[in-house]
Amino acid sequence: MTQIPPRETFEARAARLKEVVAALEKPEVPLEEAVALYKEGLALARDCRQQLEQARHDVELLSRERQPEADQ
Amino acid sequence: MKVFSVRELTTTLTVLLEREFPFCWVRGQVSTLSRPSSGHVYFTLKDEEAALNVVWFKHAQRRNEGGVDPLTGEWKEASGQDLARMLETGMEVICGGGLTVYGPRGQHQLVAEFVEDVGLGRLHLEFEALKRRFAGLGWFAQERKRPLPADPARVAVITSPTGAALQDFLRLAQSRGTGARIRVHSVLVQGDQAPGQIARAMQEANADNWAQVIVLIRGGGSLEDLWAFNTEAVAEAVFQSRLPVLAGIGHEVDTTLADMIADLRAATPSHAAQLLWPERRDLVQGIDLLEAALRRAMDRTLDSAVREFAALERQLTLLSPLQRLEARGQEVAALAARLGPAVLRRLEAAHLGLEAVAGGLVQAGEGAFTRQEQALARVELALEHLNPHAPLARGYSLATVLRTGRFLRSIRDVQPGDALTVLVADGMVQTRVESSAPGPLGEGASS
Repeated sequence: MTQIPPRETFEARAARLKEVVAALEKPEVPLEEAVALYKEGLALARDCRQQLEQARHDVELLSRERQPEADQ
Repeated sequence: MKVFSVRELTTTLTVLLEREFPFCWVRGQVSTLSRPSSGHVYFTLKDEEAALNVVWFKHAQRRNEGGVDPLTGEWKEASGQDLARMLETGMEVICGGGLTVYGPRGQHQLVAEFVEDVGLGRLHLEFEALKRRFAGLGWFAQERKRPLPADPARVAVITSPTGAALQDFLRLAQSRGTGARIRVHSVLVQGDQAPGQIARAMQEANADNWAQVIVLIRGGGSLEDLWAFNTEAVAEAVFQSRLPVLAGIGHEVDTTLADMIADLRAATPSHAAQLLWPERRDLVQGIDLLEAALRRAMDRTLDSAVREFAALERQLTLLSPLQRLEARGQEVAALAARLGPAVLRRLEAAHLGLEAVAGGLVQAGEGAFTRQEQALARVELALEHLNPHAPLARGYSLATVLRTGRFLRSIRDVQPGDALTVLVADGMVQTRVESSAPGPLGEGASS
């Protein structure tokens, strides 16, 4: 139950990807850093896409008679 | 005593009726229903004792045709025309409108503004009453509406586990979002137990504090079917929810009070899923766009780096000694290139001058030679003349003084007794001077 759902990391990755793009779009970024950002960005994009391809909703049905504290 | 004309009395009655009953509700059973092609509906309202003519004009049937509800700020769908079509003889209805008199027939009649089925009419009245009450409590206020979390990961759905609403919702959800956990709180959505269960589920979901948003959905149905969502219990639970609530109850035309109180209202359960999660392909596109931006930015960075390197390389080569030598070489070459023609021109000019000089020389030389030759010829001629032997042939003789060895030219060259050698054309004569005397030829004359 404490496992982080993959979409949490999707959101984090997408946000990081946005940051990476913004950082790379700055004109004064040194080449070495740019290459590192580029690599990171490509990896993030690949992971994001992979996550979207594999994304499934996890449906859980609570019975009408459940006790509220029994779940968590 | 006043005697009315029929028209006068009818007019007076009309004025009285219209003043006293500008609007009233009346209940009865529909009979002698007629629907002429004009679109107006005529019928008689009857009970056991009496009858009342009713006219329901076409424009009044459309009165409730959509518009913004001033209480909730929500859009209301038309419903009047449906009833105008469904109205049938024997139906128990409530009519609202003003009384008037139809002069030509001398009959009073109700000009209906509203016509409603009795059961439905009661619910409508209750609905309107509750709506007014909740509006007074500020439960519909736009200011208290909260935004839903974008692409929520944990969603509590309160609905019937067997209803079409849940199936529609989950089906639409499949192609959306990035994979959420959906916890379905099973409740009855219809009947006496429904309001209590729904309200309790709302409280449970809030108490769990697990979900980011509560989704309250139910499939379409009649006003009675959906009534649980108009009850105060459910309305209050929605209002009190700490978590934002998305409601999608009934079809597009259905509106419940729970819908109006919720933070966001979806037209249908499917629409709720659409409002909740972005389309997955849109997310993919978003990632694609970011990746394209990333590649463009990298290309730009590389381009500028390449340009920078090229500039540095240029600077470096400009500074290298070899390059400087080369540059000097080129300078020299350029100078030489400029010099070459100049030198050549000079040389050519010099050459031309030289040729002229040489030509002059040759000419001069030739001239000189000719002159020398001529001079020589003249000298030869002169020499010929000077040959001492030549005149001997012509009778001259040449005397040489023996004592001096010189030619005898003057009387002063000899003394008497000097031996002379006289040269003549064919030989020599030895003789002696006896005497000498100046000759007729005088001074300077030779012998």
